[in-house]
Amino acid sequence: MAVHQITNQDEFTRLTTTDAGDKLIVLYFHTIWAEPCKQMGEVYSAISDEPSNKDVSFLSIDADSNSEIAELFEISAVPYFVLIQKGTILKELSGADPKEFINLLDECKKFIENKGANAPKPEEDTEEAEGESEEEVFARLTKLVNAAPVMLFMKGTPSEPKCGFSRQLVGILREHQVRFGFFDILRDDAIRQSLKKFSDWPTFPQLYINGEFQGGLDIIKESLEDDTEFFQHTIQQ
Amino acid sequence: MLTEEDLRNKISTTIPDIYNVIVTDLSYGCGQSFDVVVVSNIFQGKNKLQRSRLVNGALKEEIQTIHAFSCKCYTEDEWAKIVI
Repeated sequence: MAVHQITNQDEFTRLTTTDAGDKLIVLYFHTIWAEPCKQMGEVYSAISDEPSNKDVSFLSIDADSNSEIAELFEISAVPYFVLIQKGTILKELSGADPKEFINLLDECKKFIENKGANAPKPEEDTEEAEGESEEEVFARLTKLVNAAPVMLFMKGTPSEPKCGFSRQLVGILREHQVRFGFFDILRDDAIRQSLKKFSDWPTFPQLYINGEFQGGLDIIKESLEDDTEFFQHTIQQ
Repeated sequence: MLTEEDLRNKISTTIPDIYNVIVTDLSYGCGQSFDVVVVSNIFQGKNKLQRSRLVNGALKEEIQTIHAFSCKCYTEDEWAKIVI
């Protein structure tokens, strides 16, 4: 399956932050009622199947049923393409011109190649995991904590937290309208254990802002008591 | 299984300058979830993260065995403001 349909925001956050790595990710916003989307959808799918694009992640998002995601990108017309890499928007394109899209795609691929992105592909990572030294693990963790400006390492997912403290911290972030990436540490015991050492913190949830460990639930609550704009102030630094 | 007294003792013997330690077992005696308050001037000048790390260090082994742990660290001055 070369085009991945997004059905919920958690999946979207995961695929664009924690599971993204250095990959080029294409977001294709469409609706079922817009005529140009019908043909463009087929073209998009064909492009995603091309061998030359095997390292690119092609996501497809119905803008009507995923309006929060569409709002994030201020989508005003479909079809709409957003090309992102490492959490940064590289290019955007409005309209159903296949040639224009292909050109943009190639441009972004070349841009990434030239940046010398030499991080191993996600599949290779898991094979090497057993023989990894602590430095290699820490290097991976450094990338992970930087996957988004605000990264929450929690038990479960934001829509299904598996622990009261994690649930509370998600609630707090949402209450303050903070956009955040998350990682479910229950899914990966290696990350769970190594992150404890990396953060020098024994419990979860753990919040990172701009790659720097901020604390667990208690500390975040206390920080907010001292400064109601704690998140905004810390993110800006 | 850990008790409030176990944690209280560990903290009092490991962290210097203790003014007060209050440990509450929130799991009603199951030793699974603890709320800890530590008052000591050793926390003076340290930010929240540094303070918590001090307590985490003192209770390193204990924390590994329990499910939930929450901790508030105050200097004597800060504590006086809250309690009076």
